[in-house]
Amino acid sequence: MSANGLVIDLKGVEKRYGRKVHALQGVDIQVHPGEVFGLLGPNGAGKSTLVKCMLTVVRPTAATGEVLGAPLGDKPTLSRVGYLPEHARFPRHLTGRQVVEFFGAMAKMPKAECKSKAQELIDLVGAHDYADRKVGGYSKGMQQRIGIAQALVNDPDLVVLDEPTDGVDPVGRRDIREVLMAIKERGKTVFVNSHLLSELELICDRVAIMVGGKVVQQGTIDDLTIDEKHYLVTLDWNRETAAPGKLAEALGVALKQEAERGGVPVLAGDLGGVRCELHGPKLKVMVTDPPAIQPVIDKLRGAGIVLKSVEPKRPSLEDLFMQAAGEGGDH
Amino acid sequence: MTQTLALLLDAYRELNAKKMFWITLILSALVMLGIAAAGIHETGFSVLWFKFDLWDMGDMGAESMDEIRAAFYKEIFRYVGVTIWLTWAAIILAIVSTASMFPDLMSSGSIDTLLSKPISRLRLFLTKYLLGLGFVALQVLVFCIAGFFVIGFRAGDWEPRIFLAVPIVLMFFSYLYAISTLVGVYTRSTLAAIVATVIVWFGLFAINAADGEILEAQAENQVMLDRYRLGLEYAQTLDAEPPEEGGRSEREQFLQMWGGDIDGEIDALERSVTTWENWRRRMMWVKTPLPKTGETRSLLRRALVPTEDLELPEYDPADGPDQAGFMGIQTSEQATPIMMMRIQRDQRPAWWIVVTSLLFEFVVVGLAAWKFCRRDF
Repeated sequence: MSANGLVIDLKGVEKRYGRKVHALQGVDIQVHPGEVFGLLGPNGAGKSTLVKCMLTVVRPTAATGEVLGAPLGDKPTLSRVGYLPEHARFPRHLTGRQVVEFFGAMAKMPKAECKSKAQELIDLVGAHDYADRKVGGYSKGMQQRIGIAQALVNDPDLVVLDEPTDGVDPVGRRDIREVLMAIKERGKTVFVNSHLLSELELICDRVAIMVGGKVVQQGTIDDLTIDEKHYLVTLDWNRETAAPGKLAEALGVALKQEAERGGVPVLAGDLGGVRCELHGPKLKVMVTDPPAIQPVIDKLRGAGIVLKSVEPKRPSLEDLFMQAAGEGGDH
Repeated sequence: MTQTLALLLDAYRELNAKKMFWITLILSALVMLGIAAAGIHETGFSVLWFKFDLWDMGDMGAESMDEIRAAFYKEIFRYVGVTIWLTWAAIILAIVSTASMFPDLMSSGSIDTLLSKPISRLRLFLTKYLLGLGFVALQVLVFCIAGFFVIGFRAGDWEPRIFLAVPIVLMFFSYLYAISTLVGVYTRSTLAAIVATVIVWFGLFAINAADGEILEAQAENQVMLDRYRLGLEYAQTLDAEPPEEGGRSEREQFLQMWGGDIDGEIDALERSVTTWENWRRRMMWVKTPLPKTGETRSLLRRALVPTEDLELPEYDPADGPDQAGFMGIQTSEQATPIMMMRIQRDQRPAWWIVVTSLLFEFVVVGLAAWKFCRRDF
């Protein structure tokens, strides 16, 4: 752990390939102990490069910071780290069990401990049926499970997984998610790099979004979405029988067309001092607390409008990602 | 140590999976069986129970025959076992089976996991490199043990010097393996590593052949020069007076046999020897920084049949210069330039061969290690 209690505390990580490619442009990342941290970003954002810099696979052009309390690039510390790279390929001449044992030995584990740990992990990732077959005949999903097992064999304090669900079917994804939660329950820190946002949303405590070699957002999903939380009111409203303007008329407010999404005009304006957006029959009310939505509901019902549902909403990780990617792309 | 053992086990499994290790070992066993099946006796060769009568040495006596038998097996071990099999055919198999070690190691998705372990890149590189050499050493060692027993049982000569083949063949292979490793590290391509190694090997072979031609030409001219000088000395001892009954003097007749103008021939041969000597020096400049595959291989011959044991055939100037047929060794006199060439070559010190070749390997492996340690994966 670093002096400030962080498992990963990186500052100003830069990586240049020649003069033209600036893959990482001063990345700062902080990961707390015991959390599942998700690193998101579109292809080419620099996620894998950052992970590789942490694990000495790539040499950063400039960087300061610590991993597990040791300076970045400290080799002995890596015995406390487990890693599954993106598109992991294991020696085809080894069986799954031999792969796990081999990487355990490379992490300086005693042979006997390595063997028993390998068996335990093979069971954990559900690979016992094929663990003694050659890796060359494995499907992508089988390889990923063995890959996760090898990443855990040295009982690491930090587990770094680069696209762990890549090429894995939905059942496999659920299994891997459960394994990650089990690791977290053991108090380990998990750093997951993925662009499968729905997966991350389910397991991550904190996320960082990288775009164009920079971290554009970092924090808990709640923190990152606080400004975008709202209530969604679904009206019993029929466009065929009533124009959107009629709603404004009924409510006595002026809604102006601000944009158009999917051919439907987005009307926006203030309703009882609260900003609202009307997307077809759905009214997005920009408040976060239940008491704040009540005056709007009263107004709607007072105007004789029937409400089908009222739901608290927050943007999904995908919304957040798309927004950040858009902003990042604009930089 | 745990990591080294794990890498050793992995390298063994990799070679085992490719079957090449066992194929080479089986072929080695067949070669050794072939050597064991051959025999020599007073009237010719034998293979198993088939006898081929080619000469008659008469009754040599048991002791002399044992010596001949021991020399025969040592020569057949050196030439067939080492020169043809170990440093030619088996080396090709070894290059093919080890060329993929670094490209496979460095392939994307494979190297990442290894580099994320607490092992330095240099140690990982050197361990892998030495493991490649280790498996070739194992093959040669097994072959030499078999050779030791074959020569021992068949000829009664328990010759420990044949184990010199282990470091010699290993050194020979290591020059080529260094090239293969360098190209493999730079290109990450097994095919490129094999092709580049074969090209370099061919280049070294060509340089070695050119060196041989220069040495042979120089030796040939030197032998002739020595003979003409002896001839001139011999001529001085002959009577220069023509016989009373008329005709040519003994000296004139002798000089006629030598073409008449011995002084002129000596001048021409001296110029020729100087020219070839200059070429030999230039060739040494070319060869010094390069690995010496041919000379390295000949170290075993030098150990088993030292140059001191070579007996140059006696020469009598009265027989004339005998300029015929230097290429084929039909007579002991024709063998003289070939033997001179060998003596000249063997005068190159073993340390020069070993140190300069290993220096080349050190530089090549150093470059490969530097690239391996510096590159991003």
